[in-house]
Amino acid sequence: MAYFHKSPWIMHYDASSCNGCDIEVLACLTPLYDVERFGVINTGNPKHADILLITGSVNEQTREVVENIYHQMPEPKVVVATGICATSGGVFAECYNIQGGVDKVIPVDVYVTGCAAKPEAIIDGVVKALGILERKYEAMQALAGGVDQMIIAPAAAEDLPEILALQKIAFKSEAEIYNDFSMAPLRQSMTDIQTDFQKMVFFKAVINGKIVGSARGWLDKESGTGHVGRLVVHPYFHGRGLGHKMLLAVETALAASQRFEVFTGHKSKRNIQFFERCGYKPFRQEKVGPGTQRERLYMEKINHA
Amino acid sequence: MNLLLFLIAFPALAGLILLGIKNQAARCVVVWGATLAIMAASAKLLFDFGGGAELVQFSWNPAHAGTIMFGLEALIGLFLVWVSLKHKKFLVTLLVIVPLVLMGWFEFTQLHGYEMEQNLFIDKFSLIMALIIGIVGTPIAVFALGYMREFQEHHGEFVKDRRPLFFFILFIFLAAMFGVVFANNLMWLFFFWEVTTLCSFLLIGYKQDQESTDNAFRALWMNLLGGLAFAVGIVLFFHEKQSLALFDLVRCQDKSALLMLPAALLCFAGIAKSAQLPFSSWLLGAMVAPTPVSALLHSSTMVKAGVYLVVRLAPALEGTRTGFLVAVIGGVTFMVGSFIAISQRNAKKVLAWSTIANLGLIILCGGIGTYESVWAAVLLIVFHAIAKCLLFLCVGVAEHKLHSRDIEDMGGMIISLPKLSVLMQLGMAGMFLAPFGMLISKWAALRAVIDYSPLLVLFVIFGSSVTLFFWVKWMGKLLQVVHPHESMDHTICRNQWLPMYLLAALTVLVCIIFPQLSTSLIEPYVLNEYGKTTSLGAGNVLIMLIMIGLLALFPLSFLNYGRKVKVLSAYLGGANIEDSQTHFRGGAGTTREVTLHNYYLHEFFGEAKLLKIGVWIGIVLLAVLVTVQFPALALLDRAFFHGVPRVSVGEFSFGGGFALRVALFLILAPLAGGLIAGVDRIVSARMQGRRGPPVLQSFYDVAKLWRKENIVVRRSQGFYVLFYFIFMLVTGILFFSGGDLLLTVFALTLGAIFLVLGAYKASSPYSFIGAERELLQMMSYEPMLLLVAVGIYMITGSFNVIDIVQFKAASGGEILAFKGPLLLLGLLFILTIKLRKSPFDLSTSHHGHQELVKGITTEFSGKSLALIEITHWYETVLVMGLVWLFFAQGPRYMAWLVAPAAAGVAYFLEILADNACSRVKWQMLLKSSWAVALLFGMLNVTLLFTFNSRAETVAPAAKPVPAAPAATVAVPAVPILPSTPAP
Repeated sequence: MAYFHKSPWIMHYDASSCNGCDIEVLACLTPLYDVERFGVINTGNPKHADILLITGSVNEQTREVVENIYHQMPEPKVVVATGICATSGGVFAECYNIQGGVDKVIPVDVYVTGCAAKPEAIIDGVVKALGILERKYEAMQALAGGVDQMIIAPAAAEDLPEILALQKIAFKSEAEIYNDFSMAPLRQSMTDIQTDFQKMVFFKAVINGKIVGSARGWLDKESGTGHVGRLVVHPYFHGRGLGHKMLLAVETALAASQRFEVFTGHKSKRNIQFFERCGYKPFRQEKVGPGTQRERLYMEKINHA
Repeated sequence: MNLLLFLIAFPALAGLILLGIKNQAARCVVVWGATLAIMAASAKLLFDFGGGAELVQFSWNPAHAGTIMFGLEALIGLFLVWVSLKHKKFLVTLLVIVPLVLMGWFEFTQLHGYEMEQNLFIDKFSLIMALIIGIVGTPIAVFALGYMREFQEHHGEFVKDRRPLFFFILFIFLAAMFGVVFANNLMWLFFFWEVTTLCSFLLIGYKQDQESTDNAFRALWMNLLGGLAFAVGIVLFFHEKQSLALFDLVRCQDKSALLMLPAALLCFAGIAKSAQLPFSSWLLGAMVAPTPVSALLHSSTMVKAGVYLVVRLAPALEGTRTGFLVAVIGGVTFMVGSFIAISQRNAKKVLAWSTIANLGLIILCGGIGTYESVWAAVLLIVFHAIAKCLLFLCVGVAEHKLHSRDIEDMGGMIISLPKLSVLMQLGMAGMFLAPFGMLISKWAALRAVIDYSPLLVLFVIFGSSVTLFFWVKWMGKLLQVVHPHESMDHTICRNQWLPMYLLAALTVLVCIIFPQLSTSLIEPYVLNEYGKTTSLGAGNVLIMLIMIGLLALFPLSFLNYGRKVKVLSAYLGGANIEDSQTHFRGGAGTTREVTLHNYYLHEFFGEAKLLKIGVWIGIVLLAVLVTVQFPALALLDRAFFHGVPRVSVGEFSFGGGFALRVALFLILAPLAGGLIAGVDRIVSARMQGRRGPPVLQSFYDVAKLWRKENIVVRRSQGFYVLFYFIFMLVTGILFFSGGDLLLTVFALTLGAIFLVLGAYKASSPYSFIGAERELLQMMSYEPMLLLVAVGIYMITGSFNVIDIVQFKAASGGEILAFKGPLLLLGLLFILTIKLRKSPFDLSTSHHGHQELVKGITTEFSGKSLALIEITHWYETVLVMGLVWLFFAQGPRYMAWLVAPAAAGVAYFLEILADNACSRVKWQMLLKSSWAVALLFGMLNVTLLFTFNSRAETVAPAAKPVPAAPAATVAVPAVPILPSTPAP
């Protein structure tokens, strides 16, 4: 028994509701319905919550907040869209600023309809969510590592937009170090990356269905050098060994090369330390180009395999 | 003896050489050489005199020594007269001329024909002081090499480069300090004393701007006033006893008014030198000086000369009103100094006030003058010197690197100056955390004070309760996560690192070898002066070792840098901007940065107000001090001061069935705590007309949390929680195995500090405010909690839980609740805070959906949160154990049935309050809980103190001990408790 159904802690967020559903949510806590009987706690904190209960449709203002809160909840978690607006956008669906129901932004597990949703219906929805919560936990257990099993796999062409977006997020911290936002990875266009995809080996790291890391490499047959590049991990997922695993995957794919080569910014201490841990040694440093203070540090590793 | 002379003469010589060196490289060589030589000589001192010998006096009486010294004094006097006239400081001129004339008259007319042979001496106390000067103080000169170079670079255009003079004075000062601690001849002591005053004056005025000059003169006149008192004291003493030997004064058995007056005057000088109220302002002003000066003169060494003198005189002060007044001055300073430190943002001022406060505590111990208190005082001197010196150096470096002394600007130093911030935190840990020495010394001081006077207890309790507040909030500031910076550690030069490393190593070392330090140096000294001594006791040493062992595990945490946690940015109401730790989306699409500010509580602890009050109290007390036999004082004697302190026993002993009870606690406490939490929720629900969750709900919650993903902001958070848990277990074991109640109370707070640090580390605004408020809560309940321990001790005569439970057997018919009803009420009041119940659930806001989100636990989830919950169960059982203790005496059914029932009733009352009250503001929390401590706690303690009958009740059980020599004048000897003093 996993106890998830005995202790559901709820995070309640009002995405743009008229407060009708919110009143009903709070009514569930009153003596008449007393959901604490089931161990329900209305916590105000995503990091403690198991169930995200959202009322109202999602608009431009609240989209990021919904994403953030969802992202900050620990696995396993379920989302209950409460009320017709949260389910589909309701009467506001066609509004210029409305994204639609909650499922336009984050995956929704249970839909509770009604305008406003009745307390009984809300309780019903939460109870349904509990079953899903247990199932999700079991699914997590089935994967070897439990929570957040990661998969490293070759990327497909349809992954490219997501990888490009990820690359731009990941290189922002690099750009901050040099205060130079003109670096190539940040400016790369969709066509560029598609050309890259044609010539290179491409890997992605996936956690919970979302791409959180990527790496690519190509073999220079004349010099026998395997070039590794654009090794990116989403900042939220640093320090979990993703980079190392992707680097290994690229190296394995380029096993024919005699040596591997990477480059990084000369001030990017974290990167340099990372590559040093992976066995790379710096051998050359040169200016990126005129008009910038940035310098590239080239590092290499002999392929003993 | 040659070694002693070397230590006095060599630094002076080195100073003279340095006066002639303008080149930095050459200066480096000389300073390094001299430092190593002095350190080596100090170490040799330890080898030569660290063994068996107690007091060694040396006959060394060079011809015309007195005349030469007077000549030098006259030269210094002339110089000061010239300087003071130049700056139109006529008060100073007067204060220079009067003692000079007095001394001249004394030297040439009175001392005629008096020859003193044994001018120098060394004993264990002097040895300790010499080690502090040599090993803690001297490396500061090395630090100064690098620091002063940077200082001149920073301030070059305003400050003339007078580094040769600077180093000259620094070394002359060291020589004078060695002189102070080795001199047996009071005239010599006075000479060295005045030299330190001069050095301090010159160094404070180093910058030569208006502010420095003013502050230098303030320091000068205050210390000269002390010097004047010193001079008068010498003259009076010689007049009475025809002797100039320090030891004739220290060991003087005759405590008549005429002989106490010189002692009082010398204490006056000591109080001025160690910046006690009303003289504290000079030390604050002295913070304008370059940091090495602050570290050397104003924390670790020179101010220690003042406390050295008072502690040295302690045997003479024991059981006298003079001693009591000195102790009160120290106590007031300790309390006021600690209060003011809370309201300071300027790091150096926090250090300055904390220095003043800690010196106050030492003076308090010296004033009491019992063997226990002297033991505590010497310990305090050692620990304080090292840790505070380290802190000053760290702050000095941080100031140069961050260009600010403001604590608010030190946020995130763990990222911008990682190594430095670790050293700084080590220094702070040394100042107040277990198992570092300061805490133990405070504990010892409190024990020493309890038998003496409830008034002093008040000072110690309130002073030490607020200490943790300003240290922890500062630590939290250092730990805070800010947007990434590059580390600037490498810009700090080696000459600065080495002394800091040395001091950090010493902080840890004295903590580890502290039992050895006590037995081989401090106890022999106390034994030699008093014929008896105190020690920690094997049980307590064991506890300390366990704590050290636990802390030693801390670095291991880096090895297992959890793969199982997910690192996410802090909760910012969902408005986080994706990849930034500290930025959020503000109104109208703006990007804003999170800023976190500490509480400074100006409205309560503002410097201006408190200092004024403190100074006036100080002036009044000083006036009373020099007019010792103030008749009205006799009226207060009975209530506040027992004259001859009762001898207390403080041996820790584990009760029978130790292992069984520990095991029961470890297994049953979480079960009981979890059940209590479940029942709590049901009872609360019923009070609100609901049914509530199942009784096992808390266990379900924890079981679920254990299976959830663990999300943190910083990886180390989890380890803080782990230490919170472990320390709570240790505390519980301490209590339920029948250990020391006072140590339990201290340890209880320390455990909670780890959670607070974890919350600071997470640096979300919610957990930050939660942490601040948790600290505030600790500060609120700590005095009452300590008073409960003190009161229980007064009733039962023991701090050991096992003795307290068995108390009834000896006395027949009474439980603690009858003798300490007000204590029980006060305890119930603060239990509301400790159990996180409304109206005092400021830090966690357990009703959820409030502005704090979840306060201190906001950034914990999964296993960490489950562990916090389990720790809270243990904590609940532990604090309910305190209530239980009030009813557990007497027949068996009391402990097994009545006392648990009483604890149950108490818990029900807490639930009732929780549902009946709305949360108060923190101001109300602090005011009400301190008012309860003052009214209930102090009233009960004072009553117990005045009408205590425990001596009769316990006496038949143990063999009586011969009364200490009836010393004081008017005070009736009080029955003495059974004790087993060490041989």
